[in-house]
Amino acid sequence: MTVAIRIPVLTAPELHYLEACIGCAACAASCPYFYVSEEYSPVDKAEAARRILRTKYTFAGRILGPLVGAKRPSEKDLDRLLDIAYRCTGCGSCYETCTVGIYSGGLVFRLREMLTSVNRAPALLQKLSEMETSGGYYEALKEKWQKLVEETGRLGVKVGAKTEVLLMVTGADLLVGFETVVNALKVLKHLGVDVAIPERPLGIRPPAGYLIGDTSSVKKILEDIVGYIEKISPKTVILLDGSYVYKYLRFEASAILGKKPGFEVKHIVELLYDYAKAGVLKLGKVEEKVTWHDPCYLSRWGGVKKEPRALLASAAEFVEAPKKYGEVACTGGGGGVAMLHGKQFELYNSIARVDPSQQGEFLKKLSADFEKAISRRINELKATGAKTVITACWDCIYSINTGAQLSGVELRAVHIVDFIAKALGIS
Amino acid sequence: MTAELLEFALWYMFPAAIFIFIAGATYRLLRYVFLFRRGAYVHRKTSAGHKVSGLIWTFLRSSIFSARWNVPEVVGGLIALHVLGLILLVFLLAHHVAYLSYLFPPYSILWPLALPLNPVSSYLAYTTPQGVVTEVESIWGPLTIVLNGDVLTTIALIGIVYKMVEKVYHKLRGAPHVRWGDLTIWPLLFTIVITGLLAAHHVFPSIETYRFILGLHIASAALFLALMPFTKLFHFVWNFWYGKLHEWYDLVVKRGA
Repeated sequence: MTVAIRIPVLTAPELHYLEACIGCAACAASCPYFYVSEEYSPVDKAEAARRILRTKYTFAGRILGPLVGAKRPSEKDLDRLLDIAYRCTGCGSCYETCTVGIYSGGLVFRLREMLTSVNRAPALLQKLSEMETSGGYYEALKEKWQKLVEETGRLGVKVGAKTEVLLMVTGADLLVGFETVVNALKVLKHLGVDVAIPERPLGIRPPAGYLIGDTSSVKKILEDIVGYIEKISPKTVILLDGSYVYKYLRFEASAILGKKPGFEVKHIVELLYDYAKAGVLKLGKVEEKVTWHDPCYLSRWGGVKKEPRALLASAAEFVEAPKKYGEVACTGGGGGVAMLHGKQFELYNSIARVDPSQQGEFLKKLSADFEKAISRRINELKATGAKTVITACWDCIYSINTGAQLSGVELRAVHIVDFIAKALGIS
Repeated sequence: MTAELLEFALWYMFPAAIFIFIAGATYRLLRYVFLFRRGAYVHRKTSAGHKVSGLIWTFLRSSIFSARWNVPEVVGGLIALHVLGLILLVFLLAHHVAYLSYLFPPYSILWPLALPLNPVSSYLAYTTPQGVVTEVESIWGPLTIVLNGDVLTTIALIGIVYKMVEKVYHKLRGAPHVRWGDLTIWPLLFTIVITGLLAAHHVFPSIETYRFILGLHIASAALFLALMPFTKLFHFVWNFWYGKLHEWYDLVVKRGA
């Protein structure tokens, strides 16, 4: 008995992802979860989505069904599909290494969407997505927000005012990187930037709906955030989180909302680079060997690569990590995976309050796989000889620190803003 | 009966296959047109040089990555099967240039690039049904030691056998991405290439058998052509180019990566 899964409307590129795979499996080695188990190679994970999509999108699939690899899932398939769908970070490495330009991760995220349509999503992510669109997180983050407002008062930063730059603060920034937010404001004030923060956190980690393929939630929160920012009308919106939050605010929001926003979106590392290039930001030399870890959504999906490298090279002994698995090596923690692990789960659950025993087996297995996946990146970073890994995404920081701890490697990941604040002597 | 297969394949199956191919390809391409949605995008500004180097890298990166992690696929699948085997054989083997020029006269522009059957000479001679011998000098010169039908067919067969073994191996291991269609398409390709080799060398002395083998070669090639728009074989015509150019637009042009 098949379940009433809702099959999404595909775009033209997604039709290509569905029907063009030649099965060469060139993508396999690029995926952090392939090293956990070969069954998690992108080509096979995408195939799980293709099997369902063929029942609607191919003639042969409609007529011949399983004979041509087209089958809608039954109830007993769902646990397995859930495992597959959440062994992908959306890093896009499979995209670049595919011989015919297929983004397998895109299909895996469509699989998440189809599973969500039958109420199969990690409970925490589902709750975060719901809270984000209902605004139910304001109250849960009230205390943290109040603390931040007090800090801004001390630093002379405006709240909700029209300024040149708006530092977009999300719930995740408050929960995971509160000190980094404060350091960012210190750095911006140090540079003389006319900066403000919004009057409330803008989303929990927007759009949280992306993580479970809830497209209506994605649109709703983007409308809310873009609408709010346009009212304040800053010239530039600055983000601290180089995860999918950056990808969505910088590139996807305009396509989803059908209009270009009235402001530009930058990650803070881009702004700092501009100021360094203009000679305004002058960094002191930190006697430290550091390396840079590219967050996938900031670099591969965002095109921000040279900026952090230039900043770090001017402030410390900078070494590149070996690129063994493509231009950007994913930690295995993106796309919501690290949010479902250990301490991060607890932090996000402090506002979502789902029962951790719910989906206990799924979470336990996912956590174990995540811990295996991260070890690969830790080995690459260890090879640099640097003790400090600079990066710009909450998931990357958490993943590297967790992986280093598990592997017993002396490595510490920090946000680039914290490093810059230290180099300026103002942290 | 055997002669009938050749005549049928030449004058009915192949033209029908071309028609099916065109109709199928049109259907496939129209689906992309109908699913296309124009979006409002805020592109990252990058230089023309960045876009050009990005385009080159988009096409090269996957092969370079595969060369590091999956050498058999690059050697067997990409080089042996695609580049040396099929592309050169299908489009430049003298016999094919002759036939394709007959079907589509402007194709004869490729005669100087035509590959001989064997490595003896780059000087091509072929006989028309009217008994006229036409001679063509291809540009390959000493390279015909390698660039000839026999060598390239051998390489193509190695590539096909590699892919057959690889698909069966992964199917037996339960890899979900290997479907039954994958296991049938490779024997078809093998049939095309082996019958072509046998026919070209007149391995079977009787004229009936020769005509039958040649008929089988053309019939199986026609079947392959007709199946192309409805299978993953279409990657050669459309998906590879569309996929890579879209990837370039998405990552390099739009995002500046």
